[in-house]
Amino acid sequence: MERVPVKALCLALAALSLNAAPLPAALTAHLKEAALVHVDFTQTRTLAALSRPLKASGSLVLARDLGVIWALRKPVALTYVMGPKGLLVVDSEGRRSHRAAREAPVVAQMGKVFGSLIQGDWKALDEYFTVTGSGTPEQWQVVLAPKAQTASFLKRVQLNGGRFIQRISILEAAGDRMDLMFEHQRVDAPLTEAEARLLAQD
Amino acid sequence: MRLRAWLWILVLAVLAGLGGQRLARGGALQTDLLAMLPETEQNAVAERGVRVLSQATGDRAIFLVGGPGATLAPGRHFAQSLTASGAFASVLGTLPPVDPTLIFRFYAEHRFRLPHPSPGATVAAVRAAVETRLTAPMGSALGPEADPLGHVARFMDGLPLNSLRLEIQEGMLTLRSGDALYVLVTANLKGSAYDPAVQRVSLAAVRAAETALRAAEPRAELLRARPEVLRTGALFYAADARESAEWETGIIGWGSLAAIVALFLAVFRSARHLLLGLACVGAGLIAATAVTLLVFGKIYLLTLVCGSSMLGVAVDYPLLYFANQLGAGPAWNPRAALARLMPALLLGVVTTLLGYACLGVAPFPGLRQMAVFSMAGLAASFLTVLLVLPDALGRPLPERPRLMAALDRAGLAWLALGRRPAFRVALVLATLLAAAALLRLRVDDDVKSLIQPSGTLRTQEARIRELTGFSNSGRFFLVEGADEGAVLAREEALRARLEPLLRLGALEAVQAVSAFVPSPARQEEALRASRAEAPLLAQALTQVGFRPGAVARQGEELAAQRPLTVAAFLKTPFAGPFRMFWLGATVHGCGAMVYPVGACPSAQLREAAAGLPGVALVDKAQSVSGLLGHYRGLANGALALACVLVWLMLLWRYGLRSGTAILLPSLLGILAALAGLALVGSPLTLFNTIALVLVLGFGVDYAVFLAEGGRQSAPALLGVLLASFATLLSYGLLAFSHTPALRGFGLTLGLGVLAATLLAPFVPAPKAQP
Repeated sequence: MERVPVKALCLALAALSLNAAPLPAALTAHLKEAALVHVDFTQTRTLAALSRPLKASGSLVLARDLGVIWALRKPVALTYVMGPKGLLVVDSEGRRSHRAAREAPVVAQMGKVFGSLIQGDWKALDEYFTVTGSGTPEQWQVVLAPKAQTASFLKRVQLNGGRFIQRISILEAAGDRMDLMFEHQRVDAPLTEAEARLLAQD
Repeated sequence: MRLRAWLWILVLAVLAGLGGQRLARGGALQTDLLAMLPETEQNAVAERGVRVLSQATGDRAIFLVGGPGATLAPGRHFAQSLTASGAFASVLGTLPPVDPTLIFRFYAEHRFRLPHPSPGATVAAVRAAVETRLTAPMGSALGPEADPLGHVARFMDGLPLNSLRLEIQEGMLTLRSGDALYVLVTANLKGSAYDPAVQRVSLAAVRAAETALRAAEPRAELLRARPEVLRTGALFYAADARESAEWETGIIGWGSLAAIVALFLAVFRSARHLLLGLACVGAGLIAATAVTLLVFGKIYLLTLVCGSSMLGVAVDYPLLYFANQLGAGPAWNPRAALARLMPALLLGVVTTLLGYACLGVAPFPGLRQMAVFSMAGLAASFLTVLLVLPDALGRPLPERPRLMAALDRAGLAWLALGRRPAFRVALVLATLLAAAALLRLRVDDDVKSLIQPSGTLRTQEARIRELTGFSNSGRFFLVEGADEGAVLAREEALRARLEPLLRLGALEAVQAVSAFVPSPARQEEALRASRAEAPLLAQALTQVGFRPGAVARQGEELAAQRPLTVAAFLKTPFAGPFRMFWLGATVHGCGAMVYPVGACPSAQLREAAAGLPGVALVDKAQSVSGLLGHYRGLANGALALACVLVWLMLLWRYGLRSGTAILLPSLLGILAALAGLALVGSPLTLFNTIALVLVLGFGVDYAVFLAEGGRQSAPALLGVLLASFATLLSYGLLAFSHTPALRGFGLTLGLGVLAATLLAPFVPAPKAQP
């Protein structure tokens, strides 16, 4: 039984393309391959059921081999840590809940995909998407068109960027969409002690 | 020949025809060793569960294709070759595309009935819960409207869908361990794993797929480790057991036959006697097989293997008769000789049949069949000697004076040795030592000692278990109740008790239908909570920005919630692997299985479930082992009973002193066999006890023949020696079998018969009672 929250997966994949080399390679070859990236994000969800879009913001830490820290600040303070050990969620009062990779294989799979993407291995996307690109290295656009199964609930994923990735839009089949804007990339800024502890998940 | 001889031959021909007809219809040979075992559970529902589980795992062959540094290609090729062969009903390598949102949508329809934590007592708290859900990086395949509070996602996280460590890659089920990659391929057989035709076709397809795999390997792959094909499944075990048993039957059966033929020719120098001897054995085998088939409809492989050893026993009667003829010289009169031999032969047959009958006392299908097989064969052989041989042995045999003289000398020398004080002291010492060795005797009733598959198969199964976490321990909790709701509630109580074992890692997973379908009581409780939370949820959704229509729809859906039923769950495609755990309507109401995955000892499981109503742990292997132990006790009793009955019979004929003396070699033979087992370190099992019953039968036979024939009579000595030798050749050769049960049987019987034969000549000649 496949239990892939594909939206989450492609969100993570897309987020990781910040410093990976998305196809076509020529467009994004200048994206520096970094072991560690800090970046702030703003997320906007536009849903048919909502009279106004829901905005959220926070910051993201991508660390090769270690995993991802998705720290949401607004509207709720919650930190998600996804890595080879599993999924750790820490709420605003420091309460932690952990799901081991063994119990949540999808999370573990996501962790693996992160790893391969950080190392510029785009083949991992082939299974889910057809990847096309356009523009110049200064202003490029990459479109991920979902294959077979994924298409039932995902229409398209679009990435825009220049020197860095700037925007990811995820369009769902039902007409809902999610836009992620990135700013303040800091490449190779060292992990703080707190971040290192979170990534260690212990 | 006289009429009665012809009539008997006619009876045999009819039996052969009936047996042959049954065999020709096919499926008469039962190679599943476990099928020999009796039903262990008093509860018929538990037996049904055992059957369902063994069928589910039995009709499937499981492969892991790959290895260190492997790609997905070998697994894909292997699955394609198996499919192309047409030897399997279906081959699962690549998964059919399943809509992954199906399971989410199924639960979304019942989301207000799913047990869930409280989202909070204030609008602000519920709003935070909705916002958390809407902004989480791991969304689900459901839109926020279908699961605004994440009940469905949370419930699905708790489902035991992924108790196997598999992941999907390019539509194939794969498994990683370090740098090794394996593809899981399952193949459903076209019939029973125990059907030799199915085995032949399936195994040929597997072999061809392996060859194709090696041929298709690109050159680059050769530099790396070869992809391996790990396999498990009843198919391979059954085929292995059949091949090994067929081989052993061949070697042991034909080997002993060849030795017996050589013996005949060397002693009697007559092809006629050889053929007559074989005819007696053949009559026994035909009658035994036919009667077994007529009584049971099927014949177990183990019965046939033991049956091939029947040769040794069945040949005893013609041997004694021929030995008498050899000693009689020109004065040979077949009918007078038979009349003289009759008391000894009859006593021998009756004591042996008595021993065999004791086997059939235990309600153990395998033993009953062996008892019927051996009694029918023995009786037929004996009747052949009685009805056919006198007519066929009209002419006297050429005398063998030198052979007889040599036997006389040997017999006298052995008796002289027996009279020496030193020998007697040694004999007493040996007896005491043997008795002391009994202290070291172990008892083992483990059913696994019945079957010993090849080492490769066992290591491969262990590897697959280690890699996938897949195990077929054959044990489960049977949960019963008056109706579906009661069963689900009882399962929930049981799963709560097993929770600590899961946390400790003693169990890897617990598979149960109630994990997918909460009990009606819990659904109602969740629904009440959902109703109480509804006003807060409506306000929170409005605050987040949901349109009035979307908010109202939540209330409508809450009002329209229908109960989540087992029937609805079982109809979904993702219920596939769990369907077998639901037994449904039973004679007691309703039943289901809860399947613990992991190496947790049964005692610990039983303790965890102690006191829960309607819950019982069913452990087939343990029950069978317990039953084997029980039957071993029964067989020990039967042995003691047989000893007493035979003793009484001997007392009636020979009086206290001589009767006891005739029994003594058998008792010492039993002691020797037990001591031998203890010294070799072989445990005492049910099968060894059975062998001891036979030692009693043989030992008394030999002592009686010598006593009746006069112990200094060379023909009697020759007859006993030949009979004993034939027995050792046939039964004793089983000591070299690979099947532990047969090996112990052969060892016990061989040692016992050897000791009883050597001691039989020392029995003083009795004075027959009038």
